[in-house]
Amino acid sequence: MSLLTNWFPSLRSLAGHLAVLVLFLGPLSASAQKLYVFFPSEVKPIVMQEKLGAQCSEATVTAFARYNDFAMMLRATPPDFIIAKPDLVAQLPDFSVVANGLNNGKKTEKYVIMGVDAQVKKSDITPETVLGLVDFLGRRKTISFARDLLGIETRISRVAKLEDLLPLLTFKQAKAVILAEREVQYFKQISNLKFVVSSIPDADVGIVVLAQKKGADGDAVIKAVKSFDAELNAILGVQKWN
Amino acid sequence: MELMRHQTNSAFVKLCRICAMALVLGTVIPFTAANAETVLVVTQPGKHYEEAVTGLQGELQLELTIDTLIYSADLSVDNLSARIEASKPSLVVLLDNKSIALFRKYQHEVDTTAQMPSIAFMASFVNDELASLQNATGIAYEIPLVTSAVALRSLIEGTCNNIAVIHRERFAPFIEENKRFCARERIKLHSFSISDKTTDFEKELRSKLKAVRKHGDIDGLWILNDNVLLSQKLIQKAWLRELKRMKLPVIVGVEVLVNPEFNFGTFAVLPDHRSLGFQAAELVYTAWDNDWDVSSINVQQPLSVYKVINYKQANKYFKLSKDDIKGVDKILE
Repeated sequence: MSLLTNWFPSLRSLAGHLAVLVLFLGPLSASAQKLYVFFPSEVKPIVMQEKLGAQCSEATVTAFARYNDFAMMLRATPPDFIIAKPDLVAQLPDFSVVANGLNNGKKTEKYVIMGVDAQVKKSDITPETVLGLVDFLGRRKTISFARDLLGIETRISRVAKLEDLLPLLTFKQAKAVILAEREVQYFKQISNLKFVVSSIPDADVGIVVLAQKKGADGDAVIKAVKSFDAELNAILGVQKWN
Repeated sequence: MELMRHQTNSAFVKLCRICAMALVLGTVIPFTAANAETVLVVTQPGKHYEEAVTGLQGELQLELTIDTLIYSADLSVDNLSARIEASKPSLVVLLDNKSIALFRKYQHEVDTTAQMPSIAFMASFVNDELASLQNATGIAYEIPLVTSAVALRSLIEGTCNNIAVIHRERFAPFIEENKRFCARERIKLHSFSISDKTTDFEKELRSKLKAVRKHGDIDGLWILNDNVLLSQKLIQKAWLRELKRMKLPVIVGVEVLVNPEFNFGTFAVLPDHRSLGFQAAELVYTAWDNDWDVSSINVQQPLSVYKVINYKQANKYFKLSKDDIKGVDKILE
């Protein structure tokens, strides 16, 4: 007797088993793609997750508030796709960039130094200067990022969230903060502190990318990301994707 | 309906389990001695302490060995001393006033030259605690009003530029400090003090609330976490009666007070315990960079907060929409 008739003595039995298999696998395959998003922003991750999920139904979306949570889940349950800053994706050899977010046609944006009441220029910074920065690469790499940006070793006070840069300045726990130029507007909207912004020469930093895990399928996810509406793109700091 | 209930995806649940497992392992099994230096963490049982230790360990464990000791009432100076002798930490992190008190005793009885540096957080009025502790620094636990006011001001336009606070006299120095912080944001804090010697808090509180109402310029009210002024009797007989007449945005420091059923607080700003742990870890690294010298590290204010809004009240009185509150962590309806 063949193996098939051993397991499925009748066609009805075979059909029944196949139906169960389709019912079980069906929902899994529909939500099999996982998209992780780690993009520090004034928008709460749960809001980002809902908005992304609504425009990318091809994947189950999880947005992270903290670098450590993102890194832990990346190891524990690797996703198929990531939306994150390119400096972060560059550390992940299993992922390749498949789409770049663009602002005014550019993949990069300017980073600046923002102080209060007085300008803090790059030339004013010494190894003892304390500068605030959102932790988006883990401790050592965030500190290296700042050093590479400024061309000088300095004391970086990392914060977990973008909004936490403000109390660093309010309570004078940092001389200034480093951030993307587009993020300055958020602080000017919510605070009456007299912010003074200084440019950092050659400080062009990648904005955001969509990266795909090697071997993962995903034309549908890529297409969905490239079709994000203006509001969602603005949350991610871009106008469109290429 | 709470916004947080939307977080039902399996990835989030897995994350919580992984964090919990990491915390338990970290508590039961000190991290293996692959890292050269050790930090001893003296903490308390409880959800908020666990969150803080998760934040702290998550940042430190790749580079430092973490030994965690959970405080209990029968933990003695001898126990602490033995633990310090065994794990030989370079620094001790102390969570809660009880841990600080125990460590203070240890300093008086054992480490009389204060060789062991410490960092304290999640303790009430940590500055006062550290005044009698040597070689120590920390993070305040009380959220400065300016942090809450700036957050609420960004939600409800035209408010929180002139905020009133009614307080017992003993909190005057704390209020003065908050006035200075608020001034940087051009927020004026109007304080109404009640004598510590008063025999009728209800009468005094009602009188001050009336004065706030009649002031004219007040556009926000801050209610301190003072269990004397927030007794059940005073909440019912004084606060609730007057708040109904004021229709001001009310900033509180505990979540229960923004429960829409009570129609009391508008906005609760609470410590983000996980991020407090992160901030404490940054202090540990700063101390490490200074060869474990904490003497030059000033006590810090907490940076990260968790914001909860009484949406029912906020929408009714101030016409806030859901879109207006994208930056709030939890919405109560």
